[in-house]
Amino acid sequence: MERRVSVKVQRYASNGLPPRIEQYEVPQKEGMTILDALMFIKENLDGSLAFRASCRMGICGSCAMFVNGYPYLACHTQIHEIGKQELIIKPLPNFPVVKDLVVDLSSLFDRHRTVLPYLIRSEEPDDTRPIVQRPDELEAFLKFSYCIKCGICVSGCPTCASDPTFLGPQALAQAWRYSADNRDEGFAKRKESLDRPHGVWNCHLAGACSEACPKGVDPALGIQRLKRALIASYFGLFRKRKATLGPPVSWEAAPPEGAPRPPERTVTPEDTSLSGD
Amino acid sequence: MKEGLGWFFQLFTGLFLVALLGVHMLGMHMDTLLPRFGMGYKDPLVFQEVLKRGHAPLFVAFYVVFLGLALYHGFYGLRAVLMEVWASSRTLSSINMLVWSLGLFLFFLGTAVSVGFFLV
Amino acid sequence: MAIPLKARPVQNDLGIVGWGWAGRYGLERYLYTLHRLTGLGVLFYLVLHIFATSTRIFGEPAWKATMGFLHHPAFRFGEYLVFAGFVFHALNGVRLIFQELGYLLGKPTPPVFPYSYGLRDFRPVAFLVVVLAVVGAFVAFCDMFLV
Repeated sequence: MERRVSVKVQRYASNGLPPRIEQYEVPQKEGMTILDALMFIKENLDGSLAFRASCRMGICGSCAMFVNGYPYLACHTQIHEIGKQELIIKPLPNFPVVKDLVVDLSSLFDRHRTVLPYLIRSEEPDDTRPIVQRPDELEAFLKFSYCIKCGICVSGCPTCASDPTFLGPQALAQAWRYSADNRDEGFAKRKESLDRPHGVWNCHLAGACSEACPKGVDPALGIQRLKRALIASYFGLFRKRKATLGPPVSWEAAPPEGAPRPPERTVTPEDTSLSGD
Repeated sequence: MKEGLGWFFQLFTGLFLVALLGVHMLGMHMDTLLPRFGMGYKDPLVFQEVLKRGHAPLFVAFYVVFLGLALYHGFYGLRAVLMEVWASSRTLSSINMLVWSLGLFLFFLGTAVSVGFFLV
Repeated sequence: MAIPLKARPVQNDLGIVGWGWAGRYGLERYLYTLHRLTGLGVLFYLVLHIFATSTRIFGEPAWKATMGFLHHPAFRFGEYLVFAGFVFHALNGVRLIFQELGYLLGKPTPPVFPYSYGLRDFRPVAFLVVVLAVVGAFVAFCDMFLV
C-alpha cells in the first residue's frame, strides 16, 4: 500500500483574515523532503500555496519553516526524520508573515548590516601579496562563516521573541566571525553597534540558536566569545596575532621545483571591459 | 556608563552574592539543621540576637555592602527583563529611571535602618 | 491596483510566551526562563525583606509583631520557595558566569556533519546544576518542614 503523509499548512493571505490551517494528503516517497511535499502540493493540489525555496540543498537559506514544533530547513529535512505521518507546517516565528509560509526577513538583514559584516583593513589591499593565515587562525572563525541567513536562530531565541530591537544571534555571530578573523582590524568600529542596550549584552545564553542551526554555526559560542573579547578590550587585553602578508605572487615566474602552479589568470587588468570603473 | 561594564559588574556581584547570600541563607533561614551539627545560629530571629548583631560594627558594615551588591544585581536583572519586554529607545530611559530610583530608595532605607539601629 | 489597507504582514513574534515555549528545544533554553523567574522571585522577596527587617528600628514589640505575622505557614512556604529559587539561581548563575565569558564551551570546531555545539558538549554541567539545585531544595525542605 502506498504510504501517505498528511500535511497541515498554516495559510495566511495578507487580506486581514486570520491565519487558518489547511490539510493536504501527499503520497510519501522514499527520501522525500518536506520541501518535496510542499512542491507536490503546489503542483498537484493547490497552486495558491506560497513558500520560499531556491537551491534545494541547504545553501540559500530560503526555506526555513516551523515543522511540528521545531524550525527546520525544509529542503534539508526528510519527512521520515520527523517520525510522524502528520506534518504541521507553520511560518518561522519572530518574523512577520507575508503570505502562507513566506516571512519577511528584512529585519534579519537590517540587523546583520549594523554589525559591519565584512573585513575592515587599515591598508589598501595589495593584489600581488596574499595574506597568510595559519590553520588555527582559520578555524577560529571558519565555523561561524557557514551562516546562510535563514533566520532559524532568531526564531528560537527567547530574547528575540519579546525584543525585536535585539541584534539577535545571527548578527552577533557574524560580528564575531569577522572580529575573530585576524585579517580584520575593525573591532573598534564594530563595538559601537554591539556594546549598547539591546546589543550583545541581552544574550543570556539560552542556546536555542546553536541547537537549531542547520549549518552547525554555533552562534551561542561565538556570542560568548564576543562578550569576552569586549570585556577584555576595556582593559586593553583583546589581542590577536596580526595577519602577515606573504611573498609577492608572480604570475609569470616559474614556481620552485615540485610546487603546484597557481591557476592561470583568466582576466588581465588591461581587460577594458572590467577596468571601466 | 558603558553597557558592558554594567554587565560585567553584574557577573562580579553575582559571584559575591553566591558566597554572601549562601552564608546568610544558611545562617538565618536554615536554622534547624545546622545547629544540630554545631554550626550556625540557634535562634537568629530572637530580638536579643538581632540587637547583638545590630550593634556589632562588622555586621553593620556587612549589611550595607551586602545590601548594595544585592540591590545592584537584582535591579540590573530587572532592567534587562523590562527592556526586553518593552523594547524601544523611548522606554529605555523610563526603565532606567524606575530601576535607579527604586534601587537607591531601598538602599538608603536599608542603610538608614542599619546605621540608625547601630547608633541607638 | 492599489493594495488594500489591510493587506499587511501579520505579526508573528512569540512575545513573552516565547520565553516559556517556542518549540522542542533543549535544557538550557528552559534554564534561561527559570533563571529569570527565580531571579524576579528572589528580588521581590528582597524588597519585602528590607521592609520587614526595617521594623527593628521601632524596637522589640514591633519586631515581635512582624516576626509573629511572618510565622504564618503561607510565608513559611514562600520562604522555602525563595530558598529553593536562590539555590537554583546561584548554581545556574555560576555556570552562566563561566559560559557567558566563553569558558566551558569548548573551541570552535570545524563544521563537519554531524555538527556539534559548545553548549551540548558541556551539557553535563547544566545537568549537574539541575541535580544540585534539586538536592539543595530537598535539604531546605527537610530543614523547614520535617526536622
